[in-house]
Amino acid sequence: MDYDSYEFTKMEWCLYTIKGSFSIITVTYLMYRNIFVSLAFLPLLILYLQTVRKALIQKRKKQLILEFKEFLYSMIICLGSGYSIENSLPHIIKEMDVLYPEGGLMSVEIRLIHRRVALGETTSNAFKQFSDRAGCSAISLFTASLDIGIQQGGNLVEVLKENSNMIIDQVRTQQEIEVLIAEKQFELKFLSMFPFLVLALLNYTASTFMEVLYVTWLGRVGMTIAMMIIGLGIFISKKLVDQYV
Amino acid sequence: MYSAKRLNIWCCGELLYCFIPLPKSYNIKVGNMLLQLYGHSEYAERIKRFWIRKFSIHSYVVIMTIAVTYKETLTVVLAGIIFGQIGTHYYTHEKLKEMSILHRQNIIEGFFEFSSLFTLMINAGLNYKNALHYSIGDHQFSPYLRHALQKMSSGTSEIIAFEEIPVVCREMVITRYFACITQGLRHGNRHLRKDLQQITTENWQEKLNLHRKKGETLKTKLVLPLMLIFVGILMILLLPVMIQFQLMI
Repeated sequence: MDYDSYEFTKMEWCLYTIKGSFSIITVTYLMYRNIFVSLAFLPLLILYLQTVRKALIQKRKKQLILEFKEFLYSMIICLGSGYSIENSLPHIIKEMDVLYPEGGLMSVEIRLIHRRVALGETTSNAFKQFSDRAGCSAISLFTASLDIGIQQGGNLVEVLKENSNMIIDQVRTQQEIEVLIAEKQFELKFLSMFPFLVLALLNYTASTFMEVLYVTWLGRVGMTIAMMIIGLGIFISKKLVDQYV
Repeated sequence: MYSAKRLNIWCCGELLYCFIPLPKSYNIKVGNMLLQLYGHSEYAERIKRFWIRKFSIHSYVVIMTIAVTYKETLTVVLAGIIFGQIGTHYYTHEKLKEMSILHRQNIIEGFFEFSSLFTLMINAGLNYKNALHYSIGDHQFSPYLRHALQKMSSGTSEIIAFEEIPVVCREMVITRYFACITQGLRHGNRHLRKDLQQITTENWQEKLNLHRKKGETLKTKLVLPLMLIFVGILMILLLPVMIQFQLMI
């Protein structure tokens, strides 16, 4: 599995297409109160699906790092009780299955690594292939230290334990940063939804007052300009939040 | 063609140096920022370009002020020129300052990445040169590391090569990390691994603090888009009234 790309399942295709189409039609219908104009905006669905795909890639990577942290904890315990890296893998698989009964990402990866090692591939090579696909700094750090530790010799178990502890600390800090980022992203989400909620409320409570916006050409032009200004505001705030990320 | 352009830039720069009425401390400040941004190799040309750009914007302001207000009194023309000069001076300086801050932030981010990998490599048993070679990476801090590695390869001692990095970067976190390494190399330190680990962990805490700071400044920056959104909402609210009023007339 390549963690830098994401393929939708059939179920996801249907779900996100319906969700995206509904959002686009609702927003544009609120703007122009004309179903044909709303349908003309439907090609925006492609952009929506691309955004969803990127978000899903990020979500899966976050999940992988979270599970990787658990893997490191299990590994430290196994190494501490005297197992070698290769022999610790089946025990870690069992623990991961208990932690993630629905089948976590990491347990699939450890099974793959274990199978590769059983077929005669070196441990560092098996981990390296996983780290190349994952594209996460924490996993790359662990693989690099494992690779160098095996090449250099010495007390590999002790080195791995120390390095794993360090990586766990870093992952924990990274997660704290992500909490801060999530706060900002939530603010942005609310900020971008707010104008449309106001518009919907006005349409519901004072539809005759708003009628003039949808029947006269001046109203339609004015609404388009207003929406362009709102769109610009949302775009700038998204750029600012992205810079923060 | 290119050399003629270079000659032109050089001549203008030389000329400008003779007439710049600003204090020496300002020149040093600008020089330091450019040095951090572009390094020693591009410094001379970049500082000349900076002054030329500044001079051309100043001239443009003077010409535009005269062109716009030539029919008005002399006081208006003079006021326009003076305020325009002050405005452009601050604009160019602030732009440079902003670029410099961004560059420093990127260097620190790169350093955090480097320090984690470097400490892990030292921990795994590599010597300094090999660990440095392994952990150069590809970020804004990499050129300094590459330069240090080149120096080591050409025969300079590890201590001198490592000592030069914080001198060029001038960042507290970087100085602390490399001071630990150089002291360990010079006097010997059997706790060096532990010390490096501790500094790396502290660096990550620093990274978290940096993000907190960024978050605080973001709140202020988000005011502008918020205002734009409110302008949009205000338009939606006022438009029906205005249109109905126009239809009544």
